[in-house]
Amino acid sequence: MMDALYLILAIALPTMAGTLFVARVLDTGFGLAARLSLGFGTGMGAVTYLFLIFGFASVPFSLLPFIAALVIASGLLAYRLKLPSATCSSCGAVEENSGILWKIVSALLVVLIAFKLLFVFFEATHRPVYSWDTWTNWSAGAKLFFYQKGLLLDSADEHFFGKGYRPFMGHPLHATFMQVWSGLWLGRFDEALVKIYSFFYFLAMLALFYVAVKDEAGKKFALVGTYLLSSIPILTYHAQDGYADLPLAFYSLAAVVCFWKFLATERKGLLVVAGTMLGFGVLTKNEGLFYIVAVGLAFILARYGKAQSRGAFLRELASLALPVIILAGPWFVAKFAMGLGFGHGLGGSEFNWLSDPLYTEGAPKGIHWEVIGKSLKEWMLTANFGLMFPALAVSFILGLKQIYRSDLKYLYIVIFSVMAAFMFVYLTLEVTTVMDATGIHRNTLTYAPIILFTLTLLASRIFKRSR
Amino acid sequence: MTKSCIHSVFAAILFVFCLSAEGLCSNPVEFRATELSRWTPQETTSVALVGGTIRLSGLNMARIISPAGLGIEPRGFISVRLLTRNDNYGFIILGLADGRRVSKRLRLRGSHDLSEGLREHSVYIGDIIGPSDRIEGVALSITGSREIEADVASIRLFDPTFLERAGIYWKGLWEPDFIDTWTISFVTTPTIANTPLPPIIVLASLLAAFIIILAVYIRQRTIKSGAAIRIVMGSLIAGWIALSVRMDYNWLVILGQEFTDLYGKEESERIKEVNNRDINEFVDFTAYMKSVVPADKKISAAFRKKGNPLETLVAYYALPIITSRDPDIVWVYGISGLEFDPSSGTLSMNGEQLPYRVRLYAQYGDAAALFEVITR
Repeated sequence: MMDALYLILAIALPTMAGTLFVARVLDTGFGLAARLSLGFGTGMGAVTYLFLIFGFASVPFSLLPFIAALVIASGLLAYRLKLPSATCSSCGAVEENSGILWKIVSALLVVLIAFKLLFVFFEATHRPVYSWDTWTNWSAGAKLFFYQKGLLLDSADEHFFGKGYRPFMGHPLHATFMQVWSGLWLGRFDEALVKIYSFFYFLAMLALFYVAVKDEAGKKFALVGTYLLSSIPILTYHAQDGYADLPLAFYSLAAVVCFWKFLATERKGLLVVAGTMLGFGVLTKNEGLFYIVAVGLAFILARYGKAQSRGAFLRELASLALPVIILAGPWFVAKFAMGLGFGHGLGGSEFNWLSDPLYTEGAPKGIHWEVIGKSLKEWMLTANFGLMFPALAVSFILGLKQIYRSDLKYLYIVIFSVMAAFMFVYLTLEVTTVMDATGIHRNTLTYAPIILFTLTLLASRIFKRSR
Repeated sequence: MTKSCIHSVFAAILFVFCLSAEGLCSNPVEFRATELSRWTPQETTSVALVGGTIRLSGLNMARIISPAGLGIEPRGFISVRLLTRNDNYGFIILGLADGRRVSKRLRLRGSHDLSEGLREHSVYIGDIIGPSDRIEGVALSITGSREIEADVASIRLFDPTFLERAGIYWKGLWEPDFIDTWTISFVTTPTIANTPLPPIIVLASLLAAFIIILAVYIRQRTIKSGAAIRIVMGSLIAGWIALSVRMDYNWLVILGQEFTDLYGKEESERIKEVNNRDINEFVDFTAYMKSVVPADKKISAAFRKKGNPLETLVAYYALPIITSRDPDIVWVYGISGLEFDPSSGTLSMNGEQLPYRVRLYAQYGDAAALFEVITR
């Protein structure tokens, strides 16, 4: 019972601070559920940032400094805050007539989503860490930092910055710190409960997705889309273990949703939140960089020459870029200064361009074109993402005119940019993780919610349900 | 109720699919337990004939291989009646007359209670052996990162009747997933006769859309492109929901099993339960080590390199005791080949000697021991 209370506090306190930040930055554009979801992501990201600050400042890890920082931040953010309306004034609510058939279908979908949440919650709270990569990449470092109450930054220490417990020193530490965070609240490193954060990222993602689609396309598309999102099989597994891919998926979806809302409203606060999410994405996984490039590119294409003036464009660009620089910058400075490297794959912490040592040891260097066919096979013929990729292909062809004529093309620019970035890595670096399918679906998981969001909006347009 | 609803949704799809299947009928060839017990065991700890089954045991693998020269005409299906104690993978390997070896993988959901009743796993092999091939040898291999223990009653090669075949496809379609160490990377895709379900549903959706478009056109003598696109999209979304419901069925089965296995259990018991590696005794050993080694001491694995799976697991589970390359205590798990000279303090295993003198610190049954480093 006390564990439950502590874990609620572990989630609620950062969520409160994050929600106040979102309320401070966003004067409109989202309802309460979306603000809470974004607030949760912001708050948990802030906890990671605090771990880095306290860790590098050699403040021993204990609850007090974190609680103090979050409470002070909340107080400052709440000071003279005009609470925005809980309803979304700028959202084009879609009038819908619901027949009895839809009522039955929607009730069924709600039951299925609720069942999924129940299943994931049970597994997240009862199933101890069990997958190899969770142990080696995230949990071992978390457990070490938890018991050592710090980041072990003495360079003479055998376990400097988790060395010996963290095989890839250049890995960002969000998933690791989330486990330390739960451990600090529980007072012990509980093998199951330390990864409770995954469940809440899953829940927050579903809520954000539902609200974002409902505001624009109505409840029917929102509910069907949310059910399909909740049913992505591999996502369901990630929501119960202590991985980093699901949090990155949340941050990238949140950034894209805010960017999308910005295109409709031109409220700069949305770009600040988008940039914040992108920044936290980089603190979650190295692949977060792909999303900065993709959203940045889509933003420039959407706004360059279309903003009221060059100055206005630059102010918008700054709104997006500054949070990224503030959040991710210090981490990259530390990475370079400490020589932590960027490589995250099987070959070690350094890049091995054009030769994945685990795939073709001793073979001549070259581009591994075979990963394209293998990727298509994995996307099209397996059930890891339901029918997402066949639907993406078919709807792209059928809806090309709709896409080209609307802002949806910018979402496709994000999707294809990220896919291209991953494909570049597969072709030149990470061949094994595609050929044995151990990595490709995890990578895809990070942008699958964006694809589904885009597909749902496209479908709503095809069915003439949205602007 | 829910399960039967879900089954009904897919019945129509499967029925259409089965209509296209051929019906071949030849006499089955069956190898029963008595005969299987005479097959050659490989990487198998023991094979024992118990009643109508053989019990296979192995560490990471158990395999039995038939005599060569069986000379069996090809059949469309192979079926194995067995039950494994843990979730494992099975491989049916067929040696063909032309020297080729072909295989099929089975996903074997285990049961801790082997008296629960055997399960029949049938799989289509018509795609890996041609009508002119002859099967000269058969092997059954059970693998996994957990200890293998399985009761096997029979292996049967056969050509089912139309209805039998439909039943096998139907059962295969609903074969539930289970969570293992790979699940985080990819999930098992349901198949019908080895064809993955997603493309089948895509084709069925597009076919349905075509029929609907045709029907609308016949009725109205015209159809707008927008309406046709909506029909295709609607059909695809319906197919996607159908696939999602099928995948959700996995969680229904898994939750039922996991609730029994995990709810109300101590953490150490749950760790044993969920690990796909055979680490039950190892978890106990780690707990023992934590009980006898003070938290300020540093430990290290003797004769295991950094990154070795057990070394990694101890480094993780032994925390807050730190694993160090400069240890106070070294642990040895699996003491076969271990030589300890108490007078000189030298510890060696299979010719490899530790670079420091040690004394016995604690003994964990016959399987493991801890040694305290005296001098370096």
